[in-house]
Amino acid sequence: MHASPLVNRAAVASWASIVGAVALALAGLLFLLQGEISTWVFALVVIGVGSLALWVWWAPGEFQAWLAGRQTQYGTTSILVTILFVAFVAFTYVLIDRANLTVDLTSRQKYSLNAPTLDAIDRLEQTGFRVRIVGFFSRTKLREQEAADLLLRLYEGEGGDRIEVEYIDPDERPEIAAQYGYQPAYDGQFFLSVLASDGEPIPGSVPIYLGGPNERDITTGLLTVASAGSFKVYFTAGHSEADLAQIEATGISALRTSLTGQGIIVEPLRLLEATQTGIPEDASAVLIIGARARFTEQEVQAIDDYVQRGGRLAIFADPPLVDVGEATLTNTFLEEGSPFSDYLWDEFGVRVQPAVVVAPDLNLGNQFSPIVAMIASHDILTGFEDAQIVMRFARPLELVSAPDARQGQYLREPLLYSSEGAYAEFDLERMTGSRPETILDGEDQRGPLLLGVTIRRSLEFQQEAQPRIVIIGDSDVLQNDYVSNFAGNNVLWSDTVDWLTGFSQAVRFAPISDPTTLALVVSSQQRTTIATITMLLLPGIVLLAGGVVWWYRRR
Amino acid sequence: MLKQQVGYSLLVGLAAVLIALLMLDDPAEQQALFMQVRATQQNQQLIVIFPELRSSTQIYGIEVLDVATGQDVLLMRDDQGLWYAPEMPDGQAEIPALQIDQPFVESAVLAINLLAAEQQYEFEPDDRSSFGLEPPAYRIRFVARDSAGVSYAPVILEVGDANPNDTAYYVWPQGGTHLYLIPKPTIDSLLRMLSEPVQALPTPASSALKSEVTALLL
Repeated sequence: MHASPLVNRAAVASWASIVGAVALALAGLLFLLQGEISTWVFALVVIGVGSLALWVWWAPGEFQAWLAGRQTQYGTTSILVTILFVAFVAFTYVLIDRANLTVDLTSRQKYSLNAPTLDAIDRLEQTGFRVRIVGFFSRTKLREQEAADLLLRLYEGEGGDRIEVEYIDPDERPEIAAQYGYQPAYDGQFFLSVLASDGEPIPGSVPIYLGGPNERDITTGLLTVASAGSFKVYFTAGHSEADLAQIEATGISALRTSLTGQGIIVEPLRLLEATQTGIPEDASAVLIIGARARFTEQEVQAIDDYVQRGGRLAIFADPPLVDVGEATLTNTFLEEGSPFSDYLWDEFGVRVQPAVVVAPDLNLGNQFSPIVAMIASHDILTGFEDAQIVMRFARPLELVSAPDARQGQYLREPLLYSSEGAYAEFDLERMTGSRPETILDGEDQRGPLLLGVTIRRSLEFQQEAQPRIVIIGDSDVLQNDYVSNFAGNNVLWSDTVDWLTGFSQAVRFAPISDPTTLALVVSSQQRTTIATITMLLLPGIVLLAGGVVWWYRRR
Repeated sequence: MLKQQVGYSLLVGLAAVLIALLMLDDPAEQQALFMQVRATQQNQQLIVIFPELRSSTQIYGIEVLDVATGQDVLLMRDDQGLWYAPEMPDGQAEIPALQIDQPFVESAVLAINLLAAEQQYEFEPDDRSSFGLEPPAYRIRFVARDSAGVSYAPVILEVGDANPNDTAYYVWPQGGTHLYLIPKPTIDSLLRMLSEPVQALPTPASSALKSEVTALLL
């Protein structure tokens, strides 16, 4: 009796060598795939080593022959060459990766910075600003951070020492997150800080919120910084106007903060002095907020000169009575028959009426704090037509119904309206003294009342001088607590400045190539699939094919 | 033969060049990178803070203190394993085990067994204020024993601010070298002992049963 050749020691040892080699190869592949020594990897290594040991033990002659054989020598050389080649490729990859070398081979240059971005970076360099782009990514957003970094590295590479990029885990650095006004929705979003000479953010400066990792938002932020100082807004002084330095809830300091935060310069303007020199040429806009005294004819003339050369003006006017129960009517700004009131009517066909808006039906707490009921379609407040705008002691406006030739040069666009239930109380004397009262009578004007209007030249784009004016019948609409608490008030302010100065147009960036973000985020499932195909399936097929050939030749 | 030697020499030379290039690379930087990747990988897993606590019955005393208001709840287990509130000087009055809402307290105490952190950070005492631990908002103290009945040293957990994403609290075990970020629901279930009464409200059923038992005893 002879044992079957399939079950004798030599055959078993021969099979063990195959099993051992395959098991070790599989263990290596699994380790690369999983990144850890899992139970399977460990088991395969044990099987591999055990099988090879069995082979060496039961067939030492075959093992020695394998070691000394030509095939082994050539095989060893091949393996060495392969290992060295793989190491060389890997090392070259690491060097290229560190050198931050990228070549965009997409037809639309999807992974390259657009020319306007490169211009923005040049402008940044010329103005001497150094900036830090700070991205907040918590541990749940690490994949997004990797994807965002592809874009941010382009900025960093192009900006040299002018642009730094930093990623912060808000959970690990809550104190820095607080400095940036971090909120949960900002996870995965970017901010921009302007750096001082010591490489730290300028003390007291407000970081600019950029948004997500896309070229449009980041470049807009860079342009905002590069444009710093190009825009200058003047606030008139000398007529008891609202004080920009007042930080209380009823102050308007938030307006200064919002402007300076965008790099817009804020300056006071004494109109009395401007009557000699004229309103400065560098004025992007002149704002009159909460004036209490009438403007002189010379001051009105200075304003007219400014407007006629294409100046931009905003007026936030309060009624003659600025609080209930006051002994007298204290506000003479734009009072009937005053030079400025007459100028606004004669030139533009707009009158700020000597009345107080009373809103019994739609108000915030009392009938003298009307809530704007309707926002007309306009560039100002676009997209915020349903936002709540709250006023306090508002003054209704009147538009000319049949404009003469002079008034006809201008286009008057109503912006804000009160509710239908509101009315304009003209008998303000009734509200003075110790027992103020107001009732709707025949002399009062019924709502909806016009509370805001914009004025510009008809066929503006054909005109050389393009003046723009905004008139709002309230200054409290801009006070700190209203601007902070009501989105409508906030947007009314920012859009008004924007419409007047054209700030957004100057810093807006429209990418030429694909404006979408870099779509390189792959899910965990997709990663596993890719890894399985490239690390298991493809090598597996090669291995299988080799095994089949070897088996066929052996037979 | 010569060809083979030349080939081997070339391979060895190439290997030497690669090794030299690798040696020229900054090993400290490489190690930092490696540690960063490793930390990131570790951060993906929850870290169990007290793995030696396998059952809530191992905990036999717990105290939750609102540091700002001074409101304090202290509960101990009696011989039967039931929770009771001992009298505290200038503090809570004694509440016997029968009047304690046992399931409510057990579920709260279970949270200690389940304490697992989303992240952990090296903690320096100077960092206390950054995480709302100067002073902490709450202090949670508990005593536990192992399965052999040997007591561990009391543990005091200082609970600071919620994280910026408002999903977890910063928690520092007093004297520890690490700060933990623990999901809000876990800590909130412990803090409920301050906001909700630990005393069980008498139900009609339990009152009736009590009367029945009393009548039988008489």
